[in-house]
Amino acid sequence: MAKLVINVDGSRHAVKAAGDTPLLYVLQDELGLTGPRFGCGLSQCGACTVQVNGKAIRSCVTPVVGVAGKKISTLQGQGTAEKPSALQKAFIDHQAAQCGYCTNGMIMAADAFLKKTPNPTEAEIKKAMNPWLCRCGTHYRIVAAIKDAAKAMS
Amino acid sequence: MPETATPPSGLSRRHFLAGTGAMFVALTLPRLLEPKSAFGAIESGKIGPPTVNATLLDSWLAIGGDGLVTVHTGKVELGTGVLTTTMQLAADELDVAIANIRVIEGDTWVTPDQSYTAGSQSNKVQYGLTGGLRQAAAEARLALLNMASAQLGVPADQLTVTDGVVSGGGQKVSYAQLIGNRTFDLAITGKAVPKTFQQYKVVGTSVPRVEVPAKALGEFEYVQYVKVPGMVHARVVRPPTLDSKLVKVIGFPHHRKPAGLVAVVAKGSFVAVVAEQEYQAIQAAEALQLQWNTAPLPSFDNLYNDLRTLSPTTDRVLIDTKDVDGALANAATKVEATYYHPIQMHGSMGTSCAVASVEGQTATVWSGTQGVYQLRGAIATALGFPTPNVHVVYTEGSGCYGLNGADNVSLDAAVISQQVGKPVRLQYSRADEHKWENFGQPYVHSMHGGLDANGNVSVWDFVAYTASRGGRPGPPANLPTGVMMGFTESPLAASPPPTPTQKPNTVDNSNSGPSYVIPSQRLVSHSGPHAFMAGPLRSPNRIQNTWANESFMDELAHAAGADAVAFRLKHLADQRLIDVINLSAKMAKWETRPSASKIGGGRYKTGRGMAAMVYEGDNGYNSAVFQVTVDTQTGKVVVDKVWTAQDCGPVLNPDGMKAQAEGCLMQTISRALIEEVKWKTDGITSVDWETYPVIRFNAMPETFEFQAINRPDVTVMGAGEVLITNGPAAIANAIFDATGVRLRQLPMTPARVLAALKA
Ligand code: FES
Ligand code: FES
Repeated sequence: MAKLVINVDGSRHAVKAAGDTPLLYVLQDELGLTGPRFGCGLSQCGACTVQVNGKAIRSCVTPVVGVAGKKISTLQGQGTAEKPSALQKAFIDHQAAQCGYCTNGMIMAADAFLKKTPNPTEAEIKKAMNPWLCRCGTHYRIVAAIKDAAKAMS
Repeated sequence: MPETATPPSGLSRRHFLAGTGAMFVALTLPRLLEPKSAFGAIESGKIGPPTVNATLLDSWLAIGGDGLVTVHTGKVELGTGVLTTTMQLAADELDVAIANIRVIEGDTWVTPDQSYTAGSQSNKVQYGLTGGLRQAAAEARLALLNMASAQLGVPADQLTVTDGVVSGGGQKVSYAQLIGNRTFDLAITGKAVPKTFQQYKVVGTSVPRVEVPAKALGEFEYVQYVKVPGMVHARVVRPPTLDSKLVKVIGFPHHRKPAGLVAVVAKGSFVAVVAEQEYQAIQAAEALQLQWNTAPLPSFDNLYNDLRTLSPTTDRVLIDTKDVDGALANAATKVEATYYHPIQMHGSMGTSCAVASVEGQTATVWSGTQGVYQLRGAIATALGFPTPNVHVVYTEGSGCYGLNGADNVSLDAAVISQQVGKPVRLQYSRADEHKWENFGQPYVHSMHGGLDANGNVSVWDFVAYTASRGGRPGPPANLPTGVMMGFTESPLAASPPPTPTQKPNTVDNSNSGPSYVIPSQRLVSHSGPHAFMAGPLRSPNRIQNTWANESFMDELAHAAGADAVAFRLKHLADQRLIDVINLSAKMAKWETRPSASKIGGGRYKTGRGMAAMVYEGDNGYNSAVFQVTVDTQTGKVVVDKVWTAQDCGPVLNPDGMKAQAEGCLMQTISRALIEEVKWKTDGITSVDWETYPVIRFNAMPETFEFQAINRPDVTVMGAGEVLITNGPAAIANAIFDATGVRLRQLPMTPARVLAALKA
């Protein structure tokens, strides 16, 4: 069987795990990435969100074999401490994280959303983000950060 | 494989390495804590000191040759901002820039035992005049000034410090030059006087939280990401119910060994599988066949009856003025009501995770625990090791809000690692987390009260019924895993002698007492055994008691035909509570009138309600006004607007305090309107976010206004649990104002609201 190779944040990686392994475990355990994370494994919370070809998907229920040859991007590919993305910067400016466990999903989802909806209203942001859970109650800051990032990006 | 030899773009080399090898184990311990010298007789370098002596200055902080100050704290960052407020304190007391401060949090080899990071105690303890970091840092500063004085020949009181450089008499010497890389070798004397809050420059400002950038960049190293060489992955397989017994391990279907399987571990009724890869462990756990002897759970529908009839119980008489029965008989108006609070869960966003490495007679455990020392004791007992042989290193996980699965998963990982002889990483499934945490306690409150002829509350009779089991470690059987392994559970606490220690009109540390001045009072609680593990959940017992007290006070106000704010104020003596109530009423433009005196027509009815309390009697004041709209056709309640005022003494970090209030707001609405753990006799049915939903973006109140009264001249109080405590009663009081219908059972779901409207 040919080795499975995935393309993550612009780099290629040979996958050791079996093809039916959810992408999340490959990113976290094999690649050592610290963006996507396990929250439920059930496509309910969004903590594991990454983008595949620009679309926000839940890596906990996405078999790695299905994303071979596609462009996978993660939170760490968004920006760096020196050059954070507009969303990362807005999340830092608004202190839009308590424990921050949900932050990965929030930023990756918001990024995909803002690409489609560059000038969203507050109601549109809340609606778009509704499927992503935050247990700490950081919602006000997350909405404010997305609003600011939208302005910065437009 | 060449593909994995290059870090993906955006990843630093450090992280790339971190992802493939040992993570960040602090092997460069300060010399004073070098385990061997601290614990002479033991040869192995893997055994730590039995305790870190909190009376020694070196236990609290160290200054490096590079001028960096390393602070050791037993109060850890849980996502609440404590790390930053701790650094603010050190910066001000030592006159060092925040950028030059490092913190080691919760490490049984390094940090003093400051008990749990819980109960809104962290800042209160660290900022206390004695016994915490504030005193230690003041002692360090005094010692450094004395050294500088000797070296420069300038009296200490003529020296000034800026960014770790002491100046005086036209000369300068830095902290690094004075003591860099050396120990103080001083006991904490109590002679150094900490600065006042008026003198602080960094404390009191909105310093951004130091770890937020890493969290937003995806660079933060949660406990979920700890990796050690040779690590394998485990998954637990839980019994149907807590008291079920494992009859036998049947094995895997068709005797086929799952891919990557390392071992199946069974100890009593504790079962886990271990595999090379995480997903292999998950699949093996799903495939493993076990035979259980299922112990049925009590009926869900009977919960509240059971609470009232449990036996035996721990009975506590908190206050008894011994004239309550007579006062009730003589009251001009009598009011009685019963309130019901369900079992609720912490429901951390990330499932709990730990990494444990047991080698021979020693163990290292990376854990998101709130109490490294207490967990160390539980793990040592379970492994059969002396306590110092277990090294617990705090590593932040998902927000916990109390005793989530963090301690239990650490115990699990340690036991599994001992069994397989390899380092083990264990992260729970969503159902493992939902079903097997130590839940918040259910309550029934039976309340009786009376008004005198002037409409004042003359008598207050409070009986609380609850149930509990287990709790925080120490004993392993305080956690579900300890029970499954067959450790002995702590017996029900004996009832204390019925001599109440509380004076009338005082609030005890569980907010049983109302905050009001009432001449005749009796407060009694009964706590019985439980089928579920229980443990502190943000505002433990305090939210339940306040739900009853602040609902009942509102019912008394209504019986008196009085305005809810004015009625509370006339029963209050505590000026700080009066001040926050007045401020919140002003913020809300509170209209003075009895509740439910202005019920609108139409399908949607809007009303406002309030609740106020002093947390634990001395740990923070909050008053909150909630405005809600009730859809009388569906029973759905929407919280529209919230105004809240609080007084937690000196404000350490205004933005941080506000962030805590926002979190409290979302959680309190969630707990008031949505959350309830459910079960059938053969198991808990709240197993994920569909069966135990929580609040989302679509339920954010459109307005949230927050104000803090800053009091720099009094002691620091907790700010993380005050607003959450008032929410359920304030919402019920607002629903009453909107509709004239009183809700007495949480959560106030559409079905319950509709039933009450139709009754
Ligand atoms: S972890 Fe993937 S949606 Fe929750
Ligand atoms: S910040 Fe903790 S879950 Fe969102």
